[in-house]
Amino acid sequence: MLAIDDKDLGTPERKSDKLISLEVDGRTVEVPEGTSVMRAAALADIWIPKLCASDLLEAFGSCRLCLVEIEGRNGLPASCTTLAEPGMRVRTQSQRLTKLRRNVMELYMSDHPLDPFECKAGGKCELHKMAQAVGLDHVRYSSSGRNHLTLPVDNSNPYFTFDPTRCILCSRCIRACDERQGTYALTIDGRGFNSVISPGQHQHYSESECVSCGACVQLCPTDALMEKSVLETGPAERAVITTCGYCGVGCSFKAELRGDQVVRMVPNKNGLPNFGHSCVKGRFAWGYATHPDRVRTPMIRKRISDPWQEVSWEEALRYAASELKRVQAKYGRGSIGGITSSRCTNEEAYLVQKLVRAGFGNNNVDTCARVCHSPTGYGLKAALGTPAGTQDFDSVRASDVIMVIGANPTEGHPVFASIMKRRLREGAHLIVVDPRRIELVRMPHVEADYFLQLKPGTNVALLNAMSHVVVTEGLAKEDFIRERCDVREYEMWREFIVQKRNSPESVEQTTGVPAESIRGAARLYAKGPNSAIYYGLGVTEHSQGTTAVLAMVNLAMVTGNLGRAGVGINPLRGQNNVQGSNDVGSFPHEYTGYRHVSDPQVRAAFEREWGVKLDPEPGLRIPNMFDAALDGSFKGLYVEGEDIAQSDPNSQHVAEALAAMEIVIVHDIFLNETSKYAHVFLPGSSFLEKDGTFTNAERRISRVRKVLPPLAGMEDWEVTCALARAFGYPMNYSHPSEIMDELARLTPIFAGVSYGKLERLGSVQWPCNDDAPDGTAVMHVGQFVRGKGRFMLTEYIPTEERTSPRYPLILTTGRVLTQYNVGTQTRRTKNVTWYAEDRLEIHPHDAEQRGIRDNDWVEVSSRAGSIVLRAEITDRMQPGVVYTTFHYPETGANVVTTENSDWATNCPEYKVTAVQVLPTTRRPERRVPEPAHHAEMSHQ
Amino acid sequence: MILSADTHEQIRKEISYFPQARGALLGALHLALRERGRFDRETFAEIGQFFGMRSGEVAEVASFYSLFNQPRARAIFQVCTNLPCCLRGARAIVRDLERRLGIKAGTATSDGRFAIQEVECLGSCATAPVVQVNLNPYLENVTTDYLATILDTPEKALSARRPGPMISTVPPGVNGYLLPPDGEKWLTLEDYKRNGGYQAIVKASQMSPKEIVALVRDSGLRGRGGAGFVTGMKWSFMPPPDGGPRYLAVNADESEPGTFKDRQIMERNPHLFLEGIMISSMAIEASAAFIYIRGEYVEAYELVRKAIEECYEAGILGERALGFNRRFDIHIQRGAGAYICGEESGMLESMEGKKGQPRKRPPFPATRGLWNRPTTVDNCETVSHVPSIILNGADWFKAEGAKNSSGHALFGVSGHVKRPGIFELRLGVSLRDLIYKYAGGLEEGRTVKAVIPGGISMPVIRGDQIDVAVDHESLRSVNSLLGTAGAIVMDDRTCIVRVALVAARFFDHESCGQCTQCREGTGWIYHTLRRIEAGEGVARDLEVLADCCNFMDGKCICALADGASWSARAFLTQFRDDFEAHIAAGKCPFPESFEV
Repeated sequence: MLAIDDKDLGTPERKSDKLISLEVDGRTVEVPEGTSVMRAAALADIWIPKLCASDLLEAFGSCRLCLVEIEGRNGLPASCTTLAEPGMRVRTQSQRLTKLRRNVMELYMSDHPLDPFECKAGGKCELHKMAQAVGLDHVRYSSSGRNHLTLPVDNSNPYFTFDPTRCILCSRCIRACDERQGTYALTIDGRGFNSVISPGQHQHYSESECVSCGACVQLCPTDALMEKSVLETGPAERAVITTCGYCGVGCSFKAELRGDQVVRMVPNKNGLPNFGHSCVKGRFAWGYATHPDRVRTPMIRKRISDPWQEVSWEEALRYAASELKRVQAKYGRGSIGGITSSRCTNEEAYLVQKLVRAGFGNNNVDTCARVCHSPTGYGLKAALGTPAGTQDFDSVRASDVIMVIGANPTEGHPVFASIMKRRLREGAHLIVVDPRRIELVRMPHVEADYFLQLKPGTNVALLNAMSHVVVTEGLAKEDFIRERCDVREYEMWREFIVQKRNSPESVEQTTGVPAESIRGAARLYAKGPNSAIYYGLGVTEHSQGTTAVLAMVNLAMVTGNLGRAGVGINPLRGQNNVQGSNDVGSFPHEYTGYRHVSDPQVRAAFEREWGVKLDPEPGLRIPNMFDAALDGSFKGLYVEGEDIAQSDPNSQHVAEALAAMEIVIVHDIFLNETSKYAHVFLPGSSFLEKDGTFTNAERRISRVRKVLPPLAGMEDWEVTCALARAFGYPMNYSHPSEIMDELARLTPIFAGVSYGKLERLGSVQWPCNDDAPDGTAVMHVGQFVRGKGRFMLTEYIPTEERTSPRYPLILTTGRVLTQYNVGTQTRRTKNVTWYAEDRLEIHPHDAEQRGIRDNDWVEVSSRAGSIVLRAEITDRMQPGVVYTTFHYPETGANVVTTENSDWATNCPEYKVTAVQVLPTTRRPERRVPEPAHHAEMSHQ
Repeated sequence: MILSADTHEQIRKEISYFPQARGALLGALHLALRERGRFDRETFAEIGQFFGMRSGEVAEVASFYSLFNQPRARAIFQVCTNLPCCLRGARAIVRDLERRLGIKAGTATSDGRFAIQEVECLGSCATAPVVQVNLNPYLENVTTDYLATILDTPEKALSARRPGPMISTVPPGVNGYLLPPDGEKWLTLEDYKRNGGYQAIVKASQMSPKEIVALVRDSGLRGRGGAGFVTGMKWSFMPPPDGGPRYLAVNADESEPGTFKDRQIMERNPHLFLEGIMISSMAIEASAAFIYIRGEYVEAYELVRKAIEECYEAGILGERALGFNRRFDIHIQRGAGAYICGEESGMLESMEGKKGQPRKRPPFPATRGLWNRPTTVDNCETVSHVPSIILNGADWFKAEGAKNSSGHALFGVSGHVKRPGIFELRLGVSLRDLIYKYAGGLEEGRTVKAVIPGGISMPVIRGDQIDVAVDHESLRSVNSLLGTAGAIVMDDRTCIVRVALVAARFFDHESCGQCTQCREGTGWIYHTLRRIEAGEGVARDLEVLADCCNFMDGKCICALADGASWSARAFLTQFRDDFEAHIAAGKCPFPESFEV
């Protein structure tokens, strides 16, 4: 079923410089070479009947409704599979065609209820619409023949139903699953009239390999596949375009509404970066927004041991502001601070940091990116000049070699993974670097050329070895280096990298990867011609996170893989707005656009705009805030949309720090771990309840639009404004667009951004300014932003976290498709159907040694603490390494993680913890079902 | 691991033959079925591992092919119930089996020992009725008495052998070049060479590819697979070599009911077939050839396989293939019971390990065929003409046939004739001669009511139209087509509604299901005819049928719907009286007609 108002041009867009002119029903239309007759007609506003065609799928030509007459051609070609040719004259309507189409529809309806009132899709059923359009009013075939009208309905998926009696075998669902999602879960069983759609192998949807991306439901032309929410609420009446609030892919969605109820979320086919595709979270798991756990009234309490007391907004804000002022008066200007959220909008993050810098008068602001991608920002800025990914997501479609390192896109970034898998099926080569055999290594129609299953914490050694191969085997792109990079630094780096300690043979022991594999992968990557690196927290959340980012830059530069489509270094960011919150000045040392607070010129501009003197000294980072709290010098904190008590490493230390503060203000949609230590709780608004913008991992700024009124009456940005005013710093905006205008005035990379432009273009990638008025898809074209690219020495230094006889295994962490981070949202949806607890994955060998059987309860202990969960024995793991997800806070994965962190950015080393795993009779302490939060740490 | 190490080894070996592993998928399914006797989820999953496919995808492919979807039993009696067999009593065979085993066709005995399955044409129309037990050699000219003797145990049924007589012949006065002399089979390399084999390729190797193409084009050779396209012309569509692989895909998926000629070549003169493939490949500069043999043809498969092995041993194929001065390979793929895989693009899909669903054209196979590379698809008989053309020249070939229909053909005659068989004759022989002179005429006192001249997809003609030459041009004059030159003859007792019903059931069974008109239309034609045949028809049914036909031909991806509609429409127009009488009487007005 199409989303409201979506026109479907029938076949996908083709790009070509060569234009072809043809005539359709007397109208002349010009289209790029390779365009179908059907699409050409649609572009001339002539809509040829169709059922199996969609512009989201390759032409299939099976419904035979779209046949047309073409002058000088025999027969009736299908307009979807016939390509436009110069001078072609096409007739889409004639008596013959009308009769033919009516006959086709009659055949369809001979095995389908004719009465449109029986149709669950209401007025949106393409089949009934088409029957009407061709004037079919009765069916001559007797109903006594064979039919499919008694097949059972499959209700097994929590979010949609499949009613095979309504299926017309157009194969759109199957093609969606294959072409768009790349899961290959749906098939047609049988042949001819006996064909039936079959998930998996005669299985129910829920038992099949279906990942519930929703593409099949979206593309079903009838009511065979229907969202349960639509069946419950009725068809939508209107739609609002907005941006998904889950991961850093930042998919564009249409929120479809009936009255003021959300009927469904459906990917916006005209929106970037997802081109109408979605995953189970964005598509279906939005029910948390109206979950009964949502807090609807502000609350305060004097002591954290007191019960919460519901109060008015005025009272809550007055109390919060007065406490902040009291603390500041007592302990000094630097004794309070704030934390911005990567889940909130750019405008909201901007206001929080503005409140801290201009209102509190210090720079004690930080953000959750600290614990995920801070090394990305630091490393990429230092080497190339911009702390962000170099490409747009679509760039992967031009890649010949794709290297995925420390990321698990099919689970963590599923929509981007679908685009990537499509490219891989087209023949691009794949290198996977991961301690765990992730799905991409071998899945239907995708297989990695090289799977380098390294030991956790050895990324730098491996990346160095790859560069070593490139340089020593003469594969370096010397021209590129001479032209684009700092040659003196290159020479120094070259001297470093060719040393024997960096050779694959030398690091074989360290990394656990055979030297020949490293060599092979390096050669493949160097050969390209377009090689791209995609990485995640498996790179950054290490003591050498920043070094690894720099090592990737070295590898990309030495092979010339930067500055054009299909190449680059691309962080897969965990949270919807982690890029944006960084961009808008959430770090203690940087204003918006990554400019140091000590820069007098920049500071002067902010002082002018904000009307106050600003502190030239960088403020406290999150871990420093905690340390200072325990020292007694940091006493008040405003936390917007982040559950620091949950997601920061070494939970115990954080809890003590929070308990030591005198005023903790939590601004969130649910009560959470942190709010246990809070004195003021300000109810937040979900992404459906406010206006603003998110910036995804490819620097794309997309609009978030208010779909529902805020449950607690105020959008988050309004709350921060009100808090600022109560604190005594005036903040008056009538709409988030004014906040963006201010941001644009103050920030060169955003200079050209405005809501007006976003309205016009749909979205825009920064930098967007006079030089790039429509934004920038690929960075560093021609030259690096900083001028010359920098090769930096990336000596491998093993983490201090080592295995020992007491802690002989390494624990690393990750996530699954259906859950999001610590589960605050997804656990309040039916996604729990698929994943109800965290498990410890362990290699059969390690399990056997310890007498652990599948499903046994085990205790995982580290130097920091211990947790209990169930074991899953799998050879996805290598011996010596165990793995768990962290979606269930009661499991407390962060209880065991240590305080080690990245040398440059303090990003915690979540990915390497030495542990012991033993069978146990202990059971996890079932804390009250977690009242979590809407902003959690990405710790993918 | 469910499958044995040996099967794994064989699957890996199969995979090594193909540019993309998946080409071996049907082969792997055959191997697994042979070992396990059935499929289950785990087996599909294990096979999927070889090809990077989900078990569901493997199951989907398997579900498309009849041979992979038989009732589960140790011995499956597959009784051909298509027209030529039905005309000669197949229904009685089924009924007798049903009675003796106490089960219905399409089911298995509760002890899992036996099953009965009605199947479409097995390509043995001259020895009808025909039964195949699992994938064993056919039991030909079966009788109920004979079947009664092999029903004791599944083992007995599986080991039963009942070969029919040699039914192909070169009638006196014809210089046969496709078939060996009557009574002979040239199965070995030695036989073939002794009779002048592998000389044409030596001669061809002295010609340039373009010269071979030109010679074959000038000879007027037209494809013998049904469509009759000029072979040399088709070859000339191949783009110039670009250094990459290019293929000859040879269609030996003979499944058109009434057609059983390719089998005669493969079973009596396999090396001729191979030499034809080699010269054709030389002409189109193919790097390899793949033969697609229908799954039921186990003997043909074995004989061609052995012939290929011999060629490899003798160095005729392989590293420096005879006449090629380079590597040249021939591999066989086996079909698995799907008529649509005889359609050229359906065959290509099947060869790539997919469901045999025809492709949209363009692109045509010459541009993008097997594995997206330039490919020519030729029929088994077609390529078998080529060696003689090389040796004797274009003029000779033209002289051996009729106008615009050069050369010999293997004419099949089945149905109500005394001596059904395959006759190697010049194109242009009269249909009357074919029936009366060569096939021995009809039983005493019977007359010809109808003839389907070229396989069941071709329009039927009336008995008073048989004074027509059997060639491309002449049959058009009676609104029919040469097709595969397999004539099905029906005598005056025959009920044409039943004939139409059998034909319609075939198309319904074989429609791949892609196009709406074909998927639904073949079904409605079949069901409407079934109602009429059962005496429940109404006058309006004939209109609906005609309408249904009119909206099928020329409007689908492939020609299956064309055949289905041509066939039905011709029955309706040529024998409208039979239909009307049926509807009027509320039952079959031909008491002596064959049963369906």
